[in-house]
Amino acid sequence: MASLTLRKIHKSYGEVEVIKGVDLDIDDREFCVFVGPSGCGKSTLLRMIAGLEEITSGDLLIDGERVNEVPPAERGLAMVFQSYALYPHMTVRDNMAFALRLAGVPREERYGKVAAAAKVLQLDQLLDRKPRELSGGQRQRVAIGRAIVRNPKVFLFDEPLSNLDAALRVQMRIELARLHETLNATMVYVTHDQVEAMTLADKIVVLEGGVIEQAGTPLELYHHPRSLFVAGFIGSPRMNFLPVTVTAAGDGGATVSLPGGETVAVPVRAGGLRPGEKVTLGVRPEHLQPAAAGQLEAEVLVVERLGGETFLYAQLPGGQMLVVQADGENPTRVHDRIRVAVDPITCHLFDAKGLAVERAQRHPLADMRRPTARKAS
Amino acid sequence: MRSSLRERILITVLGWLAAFLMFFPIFWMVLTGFKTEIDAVSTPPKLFFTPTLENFEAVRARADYVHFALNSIIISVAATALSILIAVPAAYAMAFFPKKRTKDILLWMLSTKMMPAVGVLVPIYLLAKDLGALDTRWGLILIYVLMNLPIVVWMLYTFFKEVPKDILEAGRMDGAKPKQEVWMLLLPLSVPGIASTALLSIILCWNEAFWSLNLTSSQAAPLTTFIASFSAPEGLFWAKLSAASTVAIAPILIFGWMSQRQLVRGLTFGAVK
Repeated sequence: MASLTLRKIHKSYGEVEVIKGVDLDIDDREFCVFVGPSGCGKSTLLRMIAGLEEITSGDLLIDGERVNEVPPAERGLAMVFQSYALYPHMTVRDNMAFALRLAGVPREERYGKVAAAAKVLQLDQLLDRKPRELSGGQRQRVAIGRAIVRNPKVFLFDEPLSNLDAALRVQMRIELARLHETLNATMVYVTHDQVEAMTLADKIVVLEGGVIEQAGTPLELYHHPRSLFVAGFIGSPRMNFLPVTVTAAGDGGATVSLPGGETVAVPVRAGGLRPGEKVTLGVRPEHLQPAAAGQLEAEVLVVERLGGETFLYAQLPGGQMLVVQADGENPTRVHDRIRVAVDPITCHLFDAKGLAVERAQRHPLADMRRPTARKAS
Repeated sequence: MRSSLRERILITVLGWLAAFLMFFPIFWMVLTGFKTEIDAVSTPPKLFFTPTLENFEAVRARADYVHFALNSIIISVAATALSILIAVPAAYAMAFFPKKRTKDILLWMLSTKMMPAVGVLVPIYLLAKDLGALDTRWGLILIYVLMNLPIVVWMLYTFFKEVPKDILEAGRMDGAKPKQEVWMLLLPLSVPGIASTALLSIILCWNEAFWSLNLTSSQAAPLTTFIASFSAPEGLFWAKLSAASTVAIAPILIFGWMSQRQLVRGLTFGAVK
């Protein structure tokens, strides 16, 4: 198993710079997820780690050793592709054994290893089939099996679940999490699905425009987003943003006036804020509550009932939309006027540049790490 | 959007008409081969007549068909094998490692096909003479390789483009060297494409007349020379010429017939997507 280090990694295609200096440490046995909108450079970054794309400048280290010029196969990595990229003319067994065959491993030994990996992935019955005779989920497992057989130092996943239907995706997500536990391996995973990122990752790396917006544990990103972009990207439905004006600021917090005139004292380190400054208040739908004494008044335009919870899409007098997550028993109907309570402790403030004002209290779970599974023997 | 009955009938009739127009000359040639010389030139042309084998007998007596046919087979197969051998690495590089000018190079290669061959006849003839390549199989093979390479590279390029890049990259991650990547992944995945390309190349070589007539006389002469020898000084003997042509095209016609499915797939590849 291994650690990965990226130092000032740049990538340009001709004049166009797509990765603009990435510094990142991925620890041994860590599950690291690159997430971001399409075109943010997450796949390019993964392909550079894999060795499929040249690194324009910067250093890539595996276990402390610079591998920029080392060919893909000798980096000790295995990659699972979005399209699975199985070899269509080979059986499942030969697909999984291909790397070993190229490495000159004797037939007996490589089929033995394939059989062992197939057992873990419940592919034993399918070894003699061709990829076209498999379902999407089975192909996915073969692609993972092909990676496992090589016993790599690091697993790379490029949006591996995006071709599966929703139900299968949830199931494979759980299998992947268990696999990480069993294999005790370092994994780097690219996705644009923030739910996958939140559920699988030890560390999420949010990329935007070729730079890292923020890297941290899932709950750190959820509770302490560094910027408007991260705040909007992590969490579903996305965070509500309201334009507000600072009325008083100090080290203990900042008081802001909400649309409608009420004020809220947000507990942030507001030393840098001045009264009269225009800032953005961020509050997640799940932290808003319909309440008779709420500070905001809004008209409900859409009601989404999921059974266990209800999403209310409401419009403030100023025209801004607000999403409120209420419980499943909420009787609100379209065109009802409701009042919404804002709990100051759950609020975020972002300055004019879109950067977060540090919250006064660190969330107790923000730095929680998954206990390292079994020690590597 | 369903076409009406009338449209479908029209399309069917047009299809039959086109097929008939293309097939008719071959049909007439085969028919003429079985006529006497007098029947062959009679006006109006005779559709019904007493068939005779005398032309085939005459053709057999005058020239060694097997010698020419063997030359045709050896030259077309060898030229095809050689062009594919050269074109595979070229098309691989162009399809999977395109550079800024790759498209231009492809177009330029194809554009050489637009030049009339007669324009380079004299230089090629002199070169062949100096190299001792006149009337040799290898000389003709070389010319055919050069003649067909643009088309072969172009076709393989389009077929290789259809192979998902991910598969080759997965191979690279698994430790495949470029040679293994081509041999163990790319070629097995493009067998149908390579087959169509080879078929087309063989047919083009077989039918090529300009260079074979100019650069060979007897030793290395393929069937085209064999046919031409029947439009000889004594005048045109339509029935014998037809008989000779029939036996000359018979092998490739049967070959083409058997592989037509493969050929059609190859020629329309990329066109229907």
